[in-house]
Amino acid sequence: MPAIHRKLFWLAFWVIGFAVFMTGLLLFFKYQSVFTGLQRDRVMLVAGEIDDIAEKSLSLGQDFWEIATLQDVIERRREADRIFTGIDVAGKDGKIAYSTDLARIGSSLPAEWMAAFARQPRFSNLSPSVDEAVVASTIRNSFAQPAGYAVIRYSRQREHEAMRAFTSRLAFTCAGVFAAFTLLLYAMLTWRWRRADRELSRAASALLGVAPSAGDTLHSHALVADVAAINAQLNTAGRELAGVNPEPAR
Amino acid sequence: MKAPSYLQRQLWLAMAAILLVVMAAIGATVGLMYRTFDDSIAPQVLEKAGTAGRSLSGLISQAASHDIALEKLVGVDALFADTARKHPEIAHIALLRAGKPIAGAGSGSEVPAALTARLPVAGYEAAGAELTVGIDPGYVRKLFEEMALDLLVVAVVTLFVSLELLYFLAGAVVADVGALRARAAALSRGAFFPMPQATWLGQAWSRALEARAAEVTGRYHQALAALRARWQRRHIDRQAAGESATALRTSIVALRELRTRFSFADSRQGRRAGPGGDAALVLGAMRAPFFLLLLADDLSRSFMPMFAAGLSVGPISISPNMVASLPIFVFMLVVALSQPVLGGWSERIGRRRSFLAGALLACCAHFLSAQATGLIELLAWRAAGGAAWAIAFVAAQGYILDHTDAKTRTAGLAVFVGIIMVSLVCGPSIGGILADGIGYRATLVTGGALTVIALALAWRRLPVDPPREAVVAKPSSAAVTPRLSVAFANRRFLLLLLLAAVPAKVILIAYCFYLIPLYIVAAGSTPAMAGRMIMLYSVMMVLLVPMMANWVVGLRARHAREPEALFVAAGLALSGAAGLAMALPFGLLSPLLVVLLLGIGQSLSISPQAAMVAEVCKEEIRTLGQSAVYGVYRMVERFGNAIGPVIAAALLELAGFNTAFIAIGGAVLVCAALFSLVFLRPGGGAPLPAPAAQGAD
Repeated sequence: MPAIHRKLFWLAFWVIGFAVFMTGLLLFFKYQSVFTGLQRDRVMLVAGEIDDIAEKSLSLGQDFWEIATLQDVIERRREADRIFTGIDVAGKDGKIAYSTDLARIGSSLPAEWMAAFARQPRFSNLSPSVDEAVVASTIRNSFAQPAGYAVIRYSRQREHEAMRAFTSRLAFTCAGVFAAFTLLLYAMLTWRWRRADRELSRAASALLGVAPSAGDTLHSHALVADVAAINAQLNTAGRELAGVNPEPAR
Repeated sequence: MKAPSYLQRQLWLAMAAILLVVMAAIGATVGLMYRTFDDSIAPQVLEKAGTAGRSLSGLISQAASHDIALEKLVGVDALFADTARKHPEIAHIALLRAGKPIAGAGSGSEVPAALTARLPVAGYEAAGAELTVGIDPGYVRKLFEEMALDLLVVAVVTLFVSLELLYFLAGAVVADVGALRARAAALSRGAFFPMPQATWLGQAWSRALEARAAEVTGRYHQALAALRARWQRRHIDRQAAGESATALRTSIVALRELRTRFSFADSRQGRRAGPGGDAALVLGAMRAPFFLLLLADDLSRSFMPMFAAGLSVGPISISPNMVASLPIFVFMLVVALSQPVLGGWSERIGRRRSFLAGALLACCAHFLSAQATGLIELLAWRAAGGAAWAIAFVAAQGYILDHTDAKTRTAGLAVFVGIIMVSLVCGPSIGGILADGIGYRATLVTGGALTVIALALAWRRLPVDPPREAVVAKPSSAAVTPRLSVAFANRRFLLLLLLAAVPAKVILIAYCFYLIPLYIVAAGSTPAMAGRMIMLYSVMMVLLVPMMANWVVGLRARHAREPEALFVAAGLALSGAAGLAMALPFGLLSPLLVVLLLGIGQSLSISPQAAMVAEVCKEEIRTLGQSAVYGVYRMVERFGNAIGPVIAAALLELAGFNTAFIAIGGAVLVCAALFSLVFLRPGGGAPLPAPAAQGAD
């Protein structure tokens, strides 16, 4: 492969590579944000329902730690969606009052979760591990003060599976597009380079006064003008040079 | 207007082909992934619709427990409408009785059955109650439409990056295009001396140009030799002298005449070869690492205030807004303070060594900024980043100054400015997209990775510095340390600095790098949008600055008075008016308008303002030199860069976004008015230089 073709190929390779890589990256980010957003919204809907039930009970004067129906509610909601791994309802100090996992009742939520929940007025979400994410809804009493949190832990297994499937499909597509368009751009650049080189060769012939063969005349008006301007200067210079030594040298 | 040359048109066509294929590749990737996206997201949306439906169904069931008849339920339509509004992917919600709708929100006629969740309503089974939630079949299409702006950004950035790649991978071909254009232009003007030949493109054309030029040059040398011979004969043969004296004089006059119109020898100095080798080769070698270093830094422009605001400040009592401004302040302050001393240092230790030192420091600064957990730590690394930026900037500028002469310096500096602008177009926009997807810290790490590549490229490609003795023998303009006393001694220069240069930089940095990123995120948008705004400003600068500069040159040629002061005043006024746009109730369109007006204003004033320095400081330039005066100008200007975000942060803290925008804009408008009073009033503007002085220029 001639050196110029190699240069044009690498140019096409990196230009298309960058464009396809960035597009792939955008699609990946978009898919990830939409998928996780949809899952999070689903969980938030349920967290909001639990929160509403708890707030209604509080508004009726029940004690936060003695809402009789709440344990049943969270157990029913736990079964409503396959991705839920557990539901806890904790007081504002983080101590778990109700939980689908009875062993957790009385224990405390991690301090970093509580710090994250405290920063948001209503819903909070965080991913404490690669496999699990958490959504919390703040339960408020009749004075709009935080009384506790409805916390739903859910699995990210499906998200990972979906991301794996999407990424492999995306990589395959990007690789195909990259290969095809790199070759296309390389072909276009090579074609343009050859065309320009041929036209410049024709201009060279015109400048040297070589008669063009049929169908091989100079097309570019700009080059025709360049050749004419250069020839005019050369002819003028030639005439004036002849005037420098009018008598033949002895 | 001069028509573009053939080769210029070929370059444009090649760029158009690249843009076309790049956009087609982006379109193909998006088109092919659309179906996969849709197929994978639709079940998730349906599940969410099911969850929403179950929630609504549970609520309606509560009415059944109170024995309320289905048809007597009130507020169901409003409840459904509220739910549909909160979840944009839901097209319709309906409550059916025996298959017939009795309440609903949205239109369900276009939703296929596969995209509709159907749920029984507990307690109303006897009435055949059913809830249907249909999802919008155009939801994924809308998501893709939202991505259109990002994809357009990718296409524009790719085009700019491809320009840099073109110089990096095919710099020799671009150099050939330049050489052929220069050769043809020189011959058209009557310059027949030998010039570099093309090696990649148009070799036949290059050989033909050379052959024709050599033919005339050969005849010229023959004529010269013959004339010399005649002159010598005149001295030897005294008798013949009388006869040929007139003819000889006529020949000498003809030769002199010929030489005024045609050139047969290259009188240009230092253009092709400098101490480090061929100029184009050296500048080409510097281009890619310098671009990557700038790009690494520009990646964080769209999110640095937000990143800083999220860090722990420790025991210091300081508002989040001020915290957000400090990294920019520290960076700009270090740049302003270090650049004057770096010129001489860079020259002493050598351009290559100083560039490598800058790149190495940038590597450390970026990676360490990415892991910073506290404000003080981040400020320390940003200060190091500022020093690295300034070192690399001075070294790159030094390469240009060392390898160009008076005639080619403007073109060399235009390339330099071009690299900075391309980086400012690409960096914030790509940085914003990356920050959205992978987070602030990972984007800073990406910047660090770019600096590693820059360091490796600089190590491999930059030429070895010449021996130190050679450098000492040739003082460079970059080594001149600016003296602030220059500014205080000349009142008009001081006013130019305080009323134009500093306000222009304050408003630029305060708006573009501080207030707009914070405002956009506070308005619920993303760092990617902030990056697009900064990119828009940069694109406007790339397109408008040369146009405005040409406009000024054209006006200068046509009119008796210099138009620079008028352009500076108009630019300042427009920049100031930009801030007032925030008073308009246009949401995110207001900052867009701010950026547009600021871009036009700055592009109007940048070049004329720099040109005014030469006019206002004629005497100082004559005594101290151009570099010293411009050194002061740049240094004071950079102090404007540094204080811009701090002023904005103080105003933001005191009075909120709109007031901060409007107050800064108003202050710049006042500066524009005062500047007009000083420089535009009759007798205030500098007259055109005398013809002799013009000739000397």
